[in-house]
Amino acid sequence: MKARLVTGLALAALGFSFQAEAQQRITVTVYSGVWGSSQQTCILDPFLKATGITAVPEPGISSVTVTKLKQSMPNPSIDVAWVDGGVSELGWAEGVFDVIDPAKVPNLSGLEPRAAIKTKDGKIFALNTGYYGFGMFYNTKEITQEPTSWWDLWKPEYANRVMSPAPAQAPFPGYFLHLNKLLGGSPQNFTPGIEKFKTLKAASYYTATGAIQSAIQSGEVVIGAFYVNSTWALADQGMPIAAVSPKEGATTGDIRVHIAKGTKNLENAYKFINFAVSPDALNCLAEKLYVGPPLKTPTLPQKIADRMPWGKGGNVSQLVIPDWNEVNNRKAELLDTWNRQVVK
Amino acid sequence: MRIGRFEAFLLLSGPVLFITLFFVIPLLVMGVASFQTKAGVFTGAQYAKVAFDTYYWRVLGDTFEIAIWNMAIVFVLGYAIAYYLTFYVRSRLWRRLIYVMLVTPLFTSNIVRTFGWIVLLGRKGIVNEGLLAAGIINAPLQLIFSKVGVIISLAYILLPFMVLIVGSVLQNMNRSLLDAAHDLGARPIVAFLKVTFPLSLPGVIAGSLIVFTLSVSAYVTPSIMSGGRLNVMAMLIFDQYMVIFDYNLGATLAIMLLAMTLLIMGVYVLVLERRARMTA
Repeated sequence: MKARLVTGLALAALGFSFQAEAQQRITVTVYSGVWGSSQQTCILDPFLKATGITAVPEPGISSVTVTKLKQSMPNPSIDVAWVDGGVSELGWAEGVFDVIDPAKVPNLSGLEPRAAIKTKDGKIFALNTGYYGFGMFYNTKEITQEPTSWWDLWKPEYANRVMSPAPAQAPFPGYFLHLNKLLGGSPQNFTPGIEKFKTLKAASYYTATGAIQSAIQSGEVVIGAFYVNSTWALADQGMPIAAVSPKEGATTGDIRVHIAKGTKNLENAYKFINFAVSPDALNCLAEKLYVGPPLKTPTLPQKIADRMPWGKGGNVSQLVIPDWNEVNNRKAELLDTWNRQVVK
Repeated sequence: MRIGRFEAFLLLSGPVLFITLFFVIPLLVMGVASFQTKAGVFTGAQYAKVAFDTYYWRVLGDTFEIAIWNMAIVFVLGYAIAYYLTFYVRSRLWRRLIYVMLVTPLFTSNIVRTFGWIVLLGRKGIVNEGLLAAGIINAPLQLIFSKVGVIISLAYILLPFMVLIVGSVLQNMNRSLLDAAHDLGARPIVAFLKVTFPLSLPGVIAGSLIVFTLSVSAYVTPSIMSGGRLNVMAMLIFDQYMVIFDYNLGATLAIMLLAMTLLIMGVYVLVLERRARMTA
């Protein structure tokens, strides 16, 4: 009898400890590659140190994350999700994200107003953790005169050595609509942009950002449209490459954290997103990834500050953020038109 | 020795359960979604859209064209390697070493291998540099970001499947039939065409079907190596699921691809089996 009692107590204690441990883990989707490792260094690791809660990283691209959440509703296997602006709105429309209660995120007070992403009726569903600029890159060994305009991509000397994003890439709609607008088009009229892209002698419309590195190494491309921050990261690795914010303006996007709707770890998810938007975490991401911290008062070393998406001497308020809802409304038609008219 | 019904049930239940859970049910879910609107209303509108739009048929045509080229290239190369390994390599160690060399790339991710091809086949890659140095070409060829690039890299990825399957059939062939052909005065080429090749046909059929289906469903390699200037069905399906979040049209395109692939495979097997029967 005594032995049974001891065994029962031991099993109960074991069960309790498993339960306690389960409560101290949350699953967080992160980006892959250098983005994911920076998220780990700047947020996931310090979060564990500060709270004792393990944030288990699940790498994946934004659209895959939303699809995973959609398929696992109403019991998501993910608690917190990092998703790009644009896909974030689509995810909200699919009902995979929870509303964020600002009272449970004290660090919200340090963020610039646009960093809390809201629905039309003012509910917060995402928090910005960094702005990225989408501009141009060029091979500094092969191009001695720094390009200054988006239209330099069309210069005859770069024919068949240009790389531009494919529609599957998250920044594509913002990039295309920006150029389309410069050409006199609008979100309701893609024709000027499509006609212009038909004349672009592109070596490749990339679907994977890793292709840029290989294509530059192989000498296949010398110029193209790419993330400003990723270009600087490649330059830091020793590649002969530099970023340019075109005079017509680089397009902008952001990376956001969300709480998965139906998460069983709501309290810890709140702790995590609050930690993710702390000044230390955002400044760290800025230093590692050159993403612009959405802080009211960012404190960055000069070299990092010069490489921010708003350019030297600029600030966060100068960024022009696309109307993602409008972009999303036209995304299917844009993809279809692109496939039929530009892809041969 | 025959096994009893209970043992057979036990043996089969695992694989059947696995296939039901991870293939049949998802396929059914996709099949249902293909007949629904986003709001869940049943409709045949997506099928009508796909059936009467020549664009989708053009992409399907490109997909099958790439798969057929792959099948042909992989068959020629794969058969030659399998034949060489079976009939010319006497040393077991050497044969195993070649098999290991063939199989090792399968342990590497497709993405990594495809990026490797970009470096190899690029303007400053080893192939172009070699051709330029040899004076064969005056300017670098565009070998990547084209249909040719997709075919080259897919053929490389799929080659081991053909070698392994054809190789196993050739190794198990009854060699006395070949000896009999030689004894009866058949020249080597005639013996190959009348004896070896017909006997290896099951391996050729199985290998080419695997190459064809893997080629048709490939996403990563075409999306990177096409340079976004060519679409295959897997890319259109991915776009619908992951870019637009139109799971219904994505499901319709997936079912269309599956149905057409099954149809082509069925005709291919029928034709080859009929020819095999006629030559037997």
